[in-house]
Amino acid sequence: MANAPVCPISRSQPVAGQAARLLAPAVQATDLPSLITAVNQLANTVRQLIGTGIAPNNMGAATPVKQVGFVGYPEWDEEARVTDDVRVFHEDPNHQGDKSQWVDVTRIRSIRFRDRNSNDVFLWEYNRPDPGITGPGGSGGGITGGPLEEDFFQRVSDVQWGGLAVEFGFGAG
Amino acid sequence: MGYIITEESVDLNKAVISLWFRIPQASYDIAFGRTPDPVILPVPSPEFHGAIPIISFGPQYSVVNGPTSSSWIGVCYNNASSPVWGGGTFGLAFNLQFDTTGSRPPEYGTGVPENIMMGVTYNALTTFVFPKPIPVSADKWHHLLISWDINGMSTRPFPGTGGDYSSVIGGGSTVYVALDNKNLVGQPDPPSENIFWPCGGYFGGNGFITVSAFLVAQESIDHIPQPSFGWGGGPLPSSPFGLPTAGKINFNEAVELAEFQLFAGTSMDTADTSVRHMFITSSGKPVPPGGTGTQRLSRDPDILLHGVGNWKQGRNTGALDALQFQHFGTINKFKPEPEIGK
Repeated sequence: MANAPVCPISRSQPVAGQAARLLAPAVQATDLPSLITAVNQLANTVRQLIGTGIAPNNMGAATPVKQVGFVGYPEWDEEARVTDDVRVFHEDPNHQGDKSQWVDVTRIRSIRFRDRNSNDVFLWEYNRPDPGITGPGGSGGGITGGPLEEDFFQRVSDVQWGGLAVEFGFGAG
Repeated sequence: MGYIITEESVDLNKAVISLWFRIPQASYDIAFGRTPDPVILPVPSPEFHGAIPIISFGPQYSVVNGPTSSSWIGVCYNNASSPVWGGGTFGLAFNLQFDTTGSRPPEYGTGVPENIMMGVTYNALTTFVFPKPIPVSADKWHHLLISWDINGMSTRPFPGTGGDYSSVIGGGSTVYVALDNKNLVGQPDPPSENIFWPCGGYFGGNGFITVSAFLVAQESIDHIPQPSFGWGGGPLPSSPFGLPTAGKINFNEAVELAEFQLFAGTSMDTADTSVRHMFITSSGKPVPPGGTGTQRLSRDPDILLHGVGNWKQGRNTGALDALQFQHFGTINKFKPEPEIGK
């Protein structure tokens, strides 16, 4: 056993670990194209977790395995979309609403996708309570602030720029 | 005190400026307290005595009697005690200060840079004022649209009897001014509002000459022999450029500003109603950026200050990306929003 291999790694050194499996995070969806991208990325992630994704390079070429319940890459087609028109008012950093500044947006309330391969349905729905406001002009009073950061909106139909004026203060320097 | 300022330069030999402004009565009261006594006033008057700038640009120049004023646009108190002024109110005023000197008689100061000035009490001897001041009411929004095209000018000996200024003046710069959607020079609207006299109003009504050119021309008309005056024109220095002022900030009173646009390298005649409506709607409100002004000129303004956030940060969202402002002092959101008479 004189020629027994010597471990080149001393105890003071960390043992090299196996490279972690890289799972691509789904992008933050902000509009329709990024929503589709996010759905596809999530599908890829699932495939990797169940072993049907792209094989690691050192494991040889992957052999596609037909598994029950999985029929390959999805191809999502938009099947239906529900929108409403909402006026969103400006909100300042102190959460004070400003009715002089607003933007009218056509907001997406839901989209239904269907995978042409598996016939699976993916339904995305706006997960906030419906404020009950429809039509440009916000007949129900409009929404203040925040929702624009989270909504999916496909079109800005009108904007009123408020907050044009400033006062330069008194006094000597 | 609050102001924004940039050291970057912009070509102002031709320019179109649109600005919404509002001056509190309290600022008028303070400026009134600094109104110079026309009898004991030092020559020249310290900058901004009796005046409130809303824009100032370019440096001051050292001359024998002290510094010149920088270029500025704003309001100036019209001394009610002056028979010439007949005012007692604050009226529109401006001074365009150049760094080049025309050839002129030595008594007008050698080496003193030329300037075009209107509506300002300069000293007891020379009152370059509007015979009919254009009042600028306090605590109300106003819209100023001013444009100019700077060119050289000259005077010639008076040809005989019966002449006027136009008979002794050749060349001249062109200035267009409209306040609150009323044109004030050239073809005024209404006609009785043509108040830019005596330095302006030549050459089709929009011709303006420098102060020293005017003085020489005046003496020529009075048959006082004078060497001819000649001046080759600009440039009109722009740096530092500040709102409401870039210099003498101790005289900076509270003013409210909104929606500033500057188009460099072009001039426009404010007598044209369609030109005025590039910047002010028929209901007396600002035309939004990207509206008819931009469309008419087929380009964005070089300097655009739009919206409270941009004003407070001195952020120019116009075409000159490199020209940004530093901001100092107190700049707060203000209401009401700009609208004539509000």
